[in-house]
Amino acid sequence: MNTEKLEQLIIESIQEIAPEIELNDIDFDEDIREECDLDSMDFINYLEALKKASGINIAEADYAQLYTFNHTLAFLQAQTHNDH
Amino acid sequence: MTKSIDITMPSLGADMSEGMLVKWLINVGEYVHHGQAIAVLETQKGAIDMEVYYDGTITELLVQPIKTVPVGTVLAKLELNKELSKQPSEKLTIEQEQSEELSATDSHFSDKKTAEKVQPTNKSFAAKQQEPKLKNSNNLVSKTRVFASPVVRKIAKQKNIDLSAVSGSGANNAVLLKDIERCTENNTEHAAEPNFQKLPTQKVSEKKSPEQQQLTEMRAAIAAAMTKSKQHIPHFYLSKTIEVNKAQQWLEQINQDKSPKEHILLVAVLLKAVALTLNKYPELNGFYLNDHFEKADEINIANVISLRTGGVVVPSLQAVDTLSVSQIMAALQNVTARARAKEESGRLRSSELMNASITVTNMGDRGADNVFGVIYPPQVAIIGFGKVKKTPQVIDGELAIGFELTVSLSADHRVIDGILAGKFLNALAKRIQKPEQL
Repeated sequence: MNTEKLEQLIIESIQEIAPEIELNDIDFDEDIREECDLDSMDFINYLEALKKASGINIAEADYAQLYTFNHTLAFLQAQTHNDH
Repeated sequence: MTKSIDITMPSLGADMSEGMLVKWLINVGEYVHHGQAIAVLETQKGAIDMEVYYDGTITELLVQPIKTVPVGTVLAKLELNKELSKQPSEKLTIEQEQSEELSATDSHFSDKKTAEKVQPTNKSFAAKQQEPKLKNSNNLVSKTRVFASPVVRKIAKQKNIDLSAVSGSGANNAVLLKDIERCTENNTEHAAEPNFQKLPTQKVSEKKSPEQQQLTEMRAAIAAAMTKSKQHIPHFYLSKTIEVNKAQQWLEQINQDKSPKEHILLVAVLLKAVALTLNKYPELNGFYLNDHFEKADEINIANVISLRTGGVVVPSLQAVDTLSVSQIMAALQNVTARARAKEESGRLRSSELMNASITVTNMGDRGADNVFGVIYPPQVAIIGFGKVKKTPQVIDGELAIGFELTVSLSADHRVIDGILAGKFLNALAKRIQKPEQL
């Protein structure tokens, strides 16, 4: 999957929880939870949406790698890369 | 002889004086059962499913939607099915007393007789509610997805507008409020439908959009309840810092193999610990009404849920002491989704807003270190959990990095004394140290 498509996956997953957020509202290096005003319940719901959209399994140990948009992008890229 | 029962506009809390009947979900002649949602109400807390507390046949629908009426107004009549109905307790219930209290304080509430007829809740129903519904969780990403905020979706639903048929003017063709309004203007049938604007607060703020209007009403409801609380309840406050290392480790362990959907948050552990501790300290779990305290029969914990659009909703989880930590988490997920008006998740039910015996407010990851809540009358206590912090701790004589949070208790001094409140916090702290026993 190319970067643009992955970005789209992430933003769509965020919008499942926070429909008012647009891609350019987010600083890619900042904590997604702060950027998108997600509480802990929102965050796990977002991860579930991301898991469904990407088909990539997300485990508890991975959460720390998913706090910023850029890290999430890198994580998804690594995972999709591993699959091929 | 069959007995006729009045079904009235329920009081969904001390702050509610009126409610709007939006839709009947049943017809005259229809047989209804205890716990069934029979109508949709629009309240300051959003759209609510109104449940019936008897088994029987609906004989009359006295109020036609969409109409705003005071709490206690008879909306419909039901003929009791004697064989099937559970005999409602003769004892005055909390809801009855609440609405009487309201009727006594609200000057516009002239018909006290009807206010007294608010029906009692039945606990077997509360038990039925424990099955968490997680419907549609597999369907988070729809193929023909329409971008729209929950508010827009809600209004579209109320006005029977198919969002996929509306051309959105926002980014990604997101349907914005103005698109809906345009759509409504073009459709006289829809435009003729009354909506939120019928509520009396409109006088104060005529040009507000429906969602602003609802927010205003919610703020008014919060203001009414909290002012009443601070005027009548002699609050006192205590707090205690609690180590949560063990709880965090335990959660890490059980969450290890779980998908995000099954992930258990610390709040579920805390709620269970509160419920079990309340079993030992029933003086904190109940209601102060008519100058005396009445212990609640069940531990129904209301949990403060903040809404993205502003305001809070405080629905309760029923009999929390009987639920496992994972059941509490599932119930929380479910009620949060409904409170935040994700339409596919369903609506809050009237019982969830009527029978809380205590409230918990939880700051979560991003809140403050400590929170001292305002008691929601007629409850007598509210427990506040601050955010978890990393701190230096001395563990087995060694300096180590640990986790802690501060728990607070706001208590009603008419019922609870400082020593009891302190004992409760200490007992709670102990419970939290043994997460595996929760």
